[in-house]
Amino acid sequence: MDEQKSVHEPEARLLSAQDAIQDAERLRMHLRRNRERAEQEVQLRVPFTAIIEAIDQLETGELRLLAERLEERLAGVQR
Amino acid sequence: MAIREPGMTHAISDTGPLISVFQSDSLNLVTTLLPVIHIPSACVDELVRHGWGKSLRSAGPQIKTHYLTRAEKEMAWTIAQAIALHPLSRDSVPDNHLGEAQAMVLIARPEFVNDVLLLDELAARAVAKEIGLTLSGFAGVLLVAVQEGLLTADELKERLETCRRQGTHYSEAFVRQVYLAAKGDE
Repeated sequence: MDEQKSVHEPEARLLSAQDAIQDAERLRMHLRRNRERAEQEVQLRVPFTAIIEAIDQLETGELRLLAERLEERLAGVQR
Repeated sequence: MAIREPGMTHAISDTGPLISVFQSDSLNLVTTLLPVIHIPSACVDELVRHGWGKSLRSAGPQIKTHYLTRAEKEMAWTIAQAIALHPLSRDSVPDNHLGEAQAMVLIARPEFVNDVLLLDELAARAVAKEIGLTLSGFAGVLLVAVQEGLLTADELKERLETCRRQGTHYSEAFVRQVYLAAKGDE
């Protein structure tokens, strides 16, 4: 027999849409920070020319992502 | 303790967001972003009481239950009292806030220090913010799924409406505004 399903604390006040949008922004940054933290654990020495060659292999979406990242880094350096 | 893939963020969830996950059949989606959902035993009791025991059992290793120590339970009781007395709370009985309080204590364990707390209820969220915890509601996770290309805005809307039809108190305005935000993120 199926269980009778219900919600928890049906009278409780829940978050607003604005809260949800802020949650998403915070969560996205948090996921990214955790991924970057892990990436920092393994460091390899890569010749700069290899990076330039690798960029030549990138697709449009990847190039946009890289451009976005470069703009963030440059903004940080210029500050 | 299970081995965690480097860089992966896990979730520690209260009962409410997990019910939304079950209502909208979103477990695989949510665990694509947050591979394991950890819950305290108080939330298991609440889920079973609300008829979600079978869904919980079917989840397998994607949802992991934790039992708090006596000291942690005492800490959770203090937090449950703070939630019950909070001006945003509509329920002054601390026992009814044990799930979210235990989740807040669970995420304070060292192994969860970089993880995220899933919480939808306003009073509990306010207390969690005072403690300094990183939190998100269920809708926030869906919005990130849209941003990551795992879900369309229309699918997000359908999932929130499914929760609404099954009794979760997301208002029509809430669903519409989150949908519009998702549309902008596509």
